Amino acid sequence: MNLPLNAIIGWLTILWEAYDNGTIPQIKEALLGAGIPPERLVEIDAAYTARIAKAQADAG
Amino acid sequence: MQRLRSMALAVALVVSVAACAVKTYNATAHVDVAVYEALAAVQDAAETAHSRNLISDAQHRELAGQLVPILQAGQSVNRALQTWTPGTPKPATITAGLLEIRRLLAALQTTVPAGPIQSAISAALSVLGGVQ
Repeated sequence: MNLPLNAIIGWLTILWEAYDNGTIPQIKEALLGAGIPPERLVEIDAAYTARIAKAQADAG
Repeated sequence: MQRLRSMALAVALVVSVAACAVKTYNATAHVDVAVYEALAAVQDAAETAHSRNLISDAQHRELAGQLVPILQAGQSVNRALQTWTPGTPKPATITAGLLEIRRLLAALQTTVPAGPIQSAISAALSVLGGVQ
C-alpha cells in the first residue's frame, strides 16, 4: 500500500500528456485490441439470416 | 496522504479489471467476425463447386441442409455477443455455440470431397481452433 506519491504524479502526467497530444485512442487500442463496431455485428446478423434462408431453399 | 494512495490503487485496480473485460469482449467479437467470414466462405465454395459441376445436385442439396444448423449456430453466437455487456461474465452460449459449430464442421468435413469446399472447412476449423 506504500505507493510513492511522485510515481502517481508521474503516471498522471504521462496520461495527461497522452490525452493532450491525442494518443489515448492508440494506447487504448494497443492495450485492449481494436473493437468491432456494433453496426458490424448487426450487418453480420442480417447476412446470417440471408445465408440461412438460401441454404434452406437449396436444401429443399 | 495514505488515503490518496489507497484511492489511487483502488482506481488502478478497477481500471485493470475493466480493461481485461473489454479485452475479452473485443477478442470474442473478432472471433465472431472471423467465424462468420469462414462460414460464408464454406457456403460460397459449395455454390461455386455446384455451379462448376464439381458436386452433383444431390450433393449440393445435402451440403446445404448440413450448413443450415451451422449457420444458425453462428447467428446465435453473434446475437449473444450483441447482448453481452462488456464487464459482465461472458455468456455461456457464446462458447457453447462456437464449440457446436466446430463439432458440426468437423462432421461435415468427413462427408465432402477433397477440394475447395474441404479447404474452406479446414480454414473455418482453424479459426475455431483456439476455442475452449
